[in-house]
Amino acid sequence: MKKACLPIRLVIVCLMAGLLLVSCSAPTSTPTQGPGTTPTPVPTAEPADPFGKYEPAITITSVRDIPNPAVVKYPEGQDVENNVWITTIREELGIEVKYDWVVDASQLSTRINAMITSGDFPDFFMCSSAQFNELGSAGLLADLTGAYDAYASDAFKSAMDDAGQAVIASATRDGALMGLPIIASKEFGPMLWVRTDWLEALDLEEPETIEDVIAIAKAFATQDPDGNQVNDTFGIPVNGNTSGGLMWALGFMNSLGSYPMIWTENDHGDLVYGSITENTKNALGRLRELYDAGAIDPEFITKDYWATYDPLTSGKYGIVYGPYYISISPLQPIVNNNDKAQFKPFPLLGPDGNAKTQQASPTSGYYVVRKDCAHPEAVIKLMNFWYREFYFSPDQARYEKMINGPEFTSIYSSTPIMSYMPWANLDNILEAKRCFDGEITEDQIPPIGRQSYQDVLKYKNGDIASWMWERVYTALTTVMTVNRDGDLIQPDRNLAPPGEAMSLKWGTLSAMEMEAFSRIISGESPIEAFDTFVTEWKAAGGDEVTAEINTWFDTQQP
Amino acid sequence: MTGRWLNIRKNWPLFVMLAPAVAILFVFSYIPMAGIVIAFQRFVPAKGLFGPQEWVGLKNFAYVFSLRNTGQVIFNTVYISFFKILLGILVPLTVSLLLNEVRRSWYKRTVQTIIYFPYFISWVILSGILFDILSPSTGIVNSFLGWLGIQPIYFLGTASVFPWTIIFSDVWKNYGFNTILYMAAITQLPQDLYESAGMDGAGRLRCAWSITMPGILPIVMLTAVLAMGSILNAGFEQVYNLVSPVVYSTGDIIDTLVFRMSIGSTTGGAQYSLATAIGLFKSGVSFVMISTGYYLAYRFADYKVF
Amino acid sequence: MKRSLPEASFSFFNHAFLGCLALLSLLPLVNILAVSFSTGYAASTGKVGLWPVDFTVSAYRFVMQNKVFWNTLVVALLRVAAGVPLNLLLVILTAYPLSKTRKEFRQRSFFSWYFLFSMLFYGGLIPYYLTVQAVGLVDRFWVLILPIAVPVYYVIIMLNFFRQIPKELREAAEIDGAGHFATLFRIYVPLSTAAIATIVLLCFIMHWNSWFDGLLFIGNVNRQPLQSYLQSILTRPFDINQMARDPEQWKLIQFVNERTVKCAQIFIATIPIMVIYPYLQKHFTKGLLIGAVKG
Repeated sequence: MKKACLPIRLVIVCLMAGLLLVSCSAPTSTPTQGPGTTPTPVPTAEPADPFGKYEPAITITSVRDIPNPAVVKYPEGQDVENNVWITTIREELGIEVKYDWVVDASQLSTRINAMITSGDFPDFFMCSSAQFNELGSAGLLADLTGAYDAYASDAFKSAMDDAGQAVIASATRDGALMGLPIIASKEFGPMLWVRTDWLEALDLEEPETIEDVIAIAKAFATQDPDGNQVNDTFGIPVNGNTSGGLMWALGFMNSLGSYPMIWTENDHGDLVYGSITENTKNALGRLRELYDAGAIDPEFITKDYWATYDPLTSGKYGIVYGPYYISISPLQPIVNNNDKAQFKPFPLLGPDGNAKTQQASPTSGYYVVRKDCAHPEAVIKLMNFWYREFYFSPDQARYEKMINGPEFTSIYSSTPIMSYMPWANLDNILEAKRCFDGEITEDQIPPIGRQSYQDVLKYKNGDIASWMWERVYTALTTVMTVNRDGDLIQPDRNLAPPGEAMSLKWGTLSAMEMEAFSRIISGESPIEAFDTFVTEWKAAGGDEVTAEINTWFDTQQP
Repeated sequence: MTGRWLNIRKNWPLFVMLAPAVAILFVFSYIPMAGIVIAFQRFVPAKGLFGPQEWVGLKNFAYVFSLRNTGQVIFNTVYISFFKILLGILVPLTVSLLLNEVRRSWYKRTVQTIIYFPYFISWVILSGILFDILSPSTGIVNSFLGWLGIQPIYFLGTASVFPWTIIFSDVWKNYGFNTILYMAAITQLPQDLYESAGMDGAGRLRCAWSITMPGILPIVMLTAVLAMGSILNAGFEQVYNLVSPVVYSTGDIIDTLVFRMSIGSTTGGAQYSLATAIGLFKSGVSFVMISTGYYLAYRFADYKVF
Repeated sequence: MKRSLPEASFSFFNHAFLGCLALLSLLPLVNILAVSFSTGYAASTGKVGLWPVDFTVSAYRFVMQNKVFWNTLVVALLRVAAGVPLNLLLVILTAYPLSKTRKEFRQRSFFSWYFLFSMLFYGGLIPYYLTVQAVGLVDRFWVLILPIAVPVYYVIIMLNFFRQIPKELREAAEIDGAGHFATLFRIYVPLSTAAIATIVLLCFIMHWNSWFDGLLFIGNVNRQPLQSYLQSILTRPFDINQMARDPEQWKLIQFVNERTVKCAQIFIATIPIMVIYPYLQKHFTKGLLIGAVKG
């Protein structure tokens, strides 16, 4: 059967090859150069309602990635293109969201680049900073200024305001809003987690400064805190084999005023790269000290971020620098296997007082709208809808339908659009706290906070599996509030689209950095090698990249 | 003229046989090759494949060769792949000759099956296992060496040892593949040659040397010539999963270098230009190497490998 | 026949040596199998050697739990069923003309370089994608078959095997007046069982192991081949962000980790090859008996 079909198939293929050649040689219509400056006309006849329904319904096309099939299971008959979010949006907003294509997340960037190359876009889609910039420069994007001003809901606008001027400016070209930034949470910076049952076992005090932390790390590594008579514990996890930086050590370095991998503003108002500062040299020296004391795994240089998970989950570390949710993974298994184990979260402890924690990037991409899209304001409405449903779900029934109910799978793999509010998790948890404090009753907690409330109760009633949620609650209420109130967040100030030098040279520069860092920490190179690294880094393109980014930064100043 | 015409008239079935494969490769291989132009551009997807791209001539190539460690990286690549190619032929050749001497059919088959298994394990998985067994503190290999009185060796974290860890683990993983090919070639050899040799009183070693070896030489030469084409492919998947910054000096290869470059442009278009330029360079070298091998085999063994 | 002492000792060491080689290849697999049947916690503490610790089948349940696994398995089988015969047919058809000498087939050099060139030069991912899109294969089953229908490497291997066929046999066919097709299918193919079995095995593996095309070209997970599904859960095993608080799911998660899931995956993916391999291997050991096939 299959063989019989073959010749026909081949004829078709050959014919199509001919067609393709013809279409390739035909002049392709090229988009006009320069940023699109014509503002989209906003319908003025009707008052702009952020949630106004289209009658008759309109169709908006997009593209997207598909969720991890092993993790996300849709209810029978539903999928990424047809689910409760898609149908509710159709019913309530009169917007039919259709996907031109969907693809596995690992291939999304390739497919989007191919799509951009072919010039055949949907009405809106998500793209990277580089793609956003290239599309904008080629004049292929719609100006969203008018639609945003007229249609954005209060929640959407407040999320944008919370994200900060820098984020909005990064989505703006010549004063026109050309894309909707995907706002990142400010809650994901590392905090300090200390194993308190080990502190008790070794009769140590809780740390108050970074020097205490270093002393405790050394004690954990050498004094057998788990009491198994084997010298198999370490102080602090560090991962040396990665292109993403010393992820597990970031919090430690932050505590010493070093902000590697991100750009911060110096006293002169210029952006400097955190990995080449004097503080970073100092922090590496301290890590070296820990390495020499046996508090860092001697094989960290070949372990990447995930390889460090194994000793973490098996309880080999007593100090971990990580975000508020590391209780979920990798710490929960430790408690499953040893109900005496306890980790306590602290804000980052500097030499005196608390230190700022670093935030990777305040935005993780942009939603862009095709220039000739008939309804750019529909995309604003979708975002309004997202913010309302995700953060301000009015009642339990609605919450269970749209966010987290027995019938529901995953918001992220159902909604056609999404973004964050910088402090949303904290705000929700604080509602649960108000209930514990007796200020409100359980019924008065908004649905999203009520879940946390119930999880904490479960743990208090002896459900060890809910330990992770209780720790999330504790980390947010005790540490994150300190971070927010004390303005202890150090965001990456570089939101520039990658320039010429950045595009060409960054990969090489990062590799130099990782090589120098691992060599210094592991003692392969002396600490003085840091200065050589900085000189070489600058010469190999670091200075060019810095200049490029500062040129951009100057244009961002009001 | 008539001679050629006759040739075609007699050989038309040969053209018919080739037609489907020629057509399929034309569509899926030759048409996309138009994309090689990207190597000479500063490619921006938003401008379209044949749109008003900025032509930069050989700048993409020049940039890669201007990097301070490109020379070292090319050396690492050639070093690793040279020994991979050499051992990747010698080991299967030896093993298949030895296997051929095994008379017990079940034993022969079992061994052949088992040594082929690692070929199926992807490097993502295998790298995890290698990190475990080669660990200087907990790995089984170093326990064994310790038992022999040898100091622990950090196989994956020592620059001088790393390339050989890569070479040996690759040969170990893949020698089953070529063994299968060589065994198939041995099997195809006419049995009566051995029978008449046996009657002449030739020993097994002599048979292996003067019948089996020349018999499978064409296949061995073929695999060697084709392998020469991969002199600049030291095995991206393997090295990427095993390399760490401390061993960049000996373990960084062209493909990992290119991969890291793409990080900088964070999914913009620039990565495609560089990657295509390097790809073109590598293809060119492959082409030269294979042609050379082809010529040498033809010149000295009077054999056209393809 | 009595064997001499050196020959007997050679035989002994040969067996022992090959046995050790086999063991070296086997042990990691046994370890993978053991890890796949252990709990995630045991695996991460590095306690698992050649035997499972805290035996569990959670990793297998995690991989096989939903219908997608079975749907993609069907796609993978269909792919092999359609792809391998097509590969084999094209390899044989293409290798035959190329195995001719230049005297027999004047244009052979041009064609062999045409094939070799296609193997070496590559236009890059985006042009390749756009071509496949233009042919209309995106999101179609045939995208898994047609672009890799002609494995040039195997064509070259096959043509070399064809050349090993004794000259007398080839000439005998010509004298009988048999056409090219008849010669190929009546003489060449029956005489190349070992080579054909090898090519079938290699093509089978090629199709079975391909995952990238499924992920890049096919958006519906249920229409991807098994390896694409396995790959996507391998690269993003525990996407906590995407996970609802489904208690069943969380319970399972507590018993597995990335490593046990990967190992289970490897094992599942290798089963079909283990099944097909011994069957094909029968043909490898069949010798070529000249006398038997004549006439």
